[in-house]
Amino acid sequence: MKVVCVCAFGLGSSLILRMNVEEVLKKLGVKNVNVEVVDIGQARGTRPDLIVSSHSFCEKLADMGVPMIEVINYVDKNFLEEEIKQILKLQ
Amino acid sequence: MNLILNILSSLISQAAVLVALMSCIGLVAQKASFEKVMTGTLKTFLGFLIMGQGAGIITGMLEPLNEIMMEAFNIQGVIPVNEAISAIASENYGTQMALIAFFGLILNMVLARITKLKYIFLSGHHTIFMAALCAVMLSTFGIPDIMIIIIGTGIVGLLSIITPAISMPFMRKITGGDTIAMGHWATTCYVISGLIGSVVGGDPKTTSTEDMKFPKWVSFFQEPVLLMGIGVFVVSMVSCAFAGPQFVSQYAGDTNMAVWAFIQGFIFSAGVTVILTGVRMILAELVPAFKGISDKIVPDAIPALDCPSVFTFAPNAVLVGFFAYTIGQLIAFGLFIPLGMTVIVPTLLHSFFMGGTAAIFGNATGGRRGAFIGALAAGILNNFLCSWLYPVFGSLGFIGTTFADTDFSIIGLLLYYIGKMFGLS
Repeated sequence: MKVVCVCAFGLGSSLILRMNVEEVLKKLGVKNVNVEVVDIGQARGTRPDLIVSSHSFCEKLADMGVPMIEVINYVDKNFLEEEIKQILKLQ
Repeated sequence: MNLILNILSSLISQAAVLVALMSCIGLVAQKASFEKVMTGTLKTFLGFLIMGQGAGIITGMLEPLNEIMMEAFNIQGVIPVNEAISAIASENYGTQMALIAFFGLILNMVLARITKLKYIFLSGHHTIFMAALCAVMLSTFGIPDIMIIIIGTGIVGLLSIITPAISMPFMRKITGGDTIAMGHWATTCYVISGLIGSVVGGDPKTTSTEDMKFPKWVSFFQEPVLLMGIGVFVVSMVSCAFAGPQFVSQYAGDTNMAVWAFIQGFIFSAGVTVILTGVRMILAELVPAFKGISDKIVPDAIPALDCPSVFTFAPNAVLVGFFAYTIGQLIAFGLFIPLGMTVIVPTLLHSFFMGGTAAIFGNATGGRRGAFIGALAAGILNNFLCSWLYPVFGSLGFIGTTFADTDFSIIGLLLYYIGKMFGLS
């Protein structure tokens, strides 16, 4: 499974998201997941199973048809955990 | 034996190797697998080299542009882009930069542990930029390298806990809690904007920017690399028009002037994209390692994050800030020539990041009026600081670009004047 975290430059907020997503996935015992970091320009070039980003970037990428997690607080791991649990159950 | 020593000292003197070693240490400290340590270390090494190559692209296209601007207006126009100036600095000051950044991060952890200011500065790219600033400025003092690294480390370490701390009163209002601090070195102008909001703004609860409605097309402004390309194209185009086709043809050859200017604009974007790729590779290893270690040393620390971490709390304010900050930049632009100061070219990238954040601070204390006036003031203040600092860098051979964010300019200026006071620079 491939998770992609998106932000404007791909090295600030998206990196924080990647760290937190990886922590949550580890806690939930999810294996075989690759979490990547990209900027908005490169996001379309990836083929993710899940996109994690803020509302404005999620909106831009909505037509990719990929499940998304819209983040408001970048350090709220409980929120991430709940969202990931929901999405994985659907898969 | 001599051959081994020669190889070792050649390697260590390469900043890329130093940075890779830091990743290696960080990964080993986190007990990563051998394969992960190898790939992480090599990726960091590669990232640093890529960053340097990107710097080459930028310097390459800025040279002709500067000549054309000189011919057109007889002034030096400067486009402040942190990534560009830091990548260029890494060519000659790379070793000091790498060491200051590394020890600065360690000092951050130590200070967070032993003082009440428990913040961990997680915007690695800003740590790198501040290290670049310190390396360059302190090198002009003529002091030994070890002193440069010690003082630079002190500056980076202290700023890493102080700037998030001063942002907290506003961050609490913005995020509604203590979970995030501001880890972005334009904090001075954000705080000023917040203060302006509390003085001249309206009631933040009833006149918030978030109650406003905006049309959809404004979201185009969220592609910063494209914005840069268009911005540099406009600057090139105007300069070419005034310099005249004859003069421009020495650089453009047979290519039409306008087409050439357009290409130059996007070569700039290309250079920045390359630099970002490099920095991203470096940070992808360093920041998680740093966080992993600091989580153990200072478990109750508040993370200081990059400015977009507050965009989600007040997205409309970002747009208000974008426009207000741009107006501020244009006002400053109009004042530079009559005042005989270095002309800072209005850069839309800053309008988005710094203007947006300043507006969020201003909105938190003073609603939409606070957001607008705060961001506008930030635009004027920031560009004046850039303009003030530029001659120092220009005289060191850094032509055409400089540091963009407020705190870099302030520290740069402070170091310059302290150096002069002690007769060092």
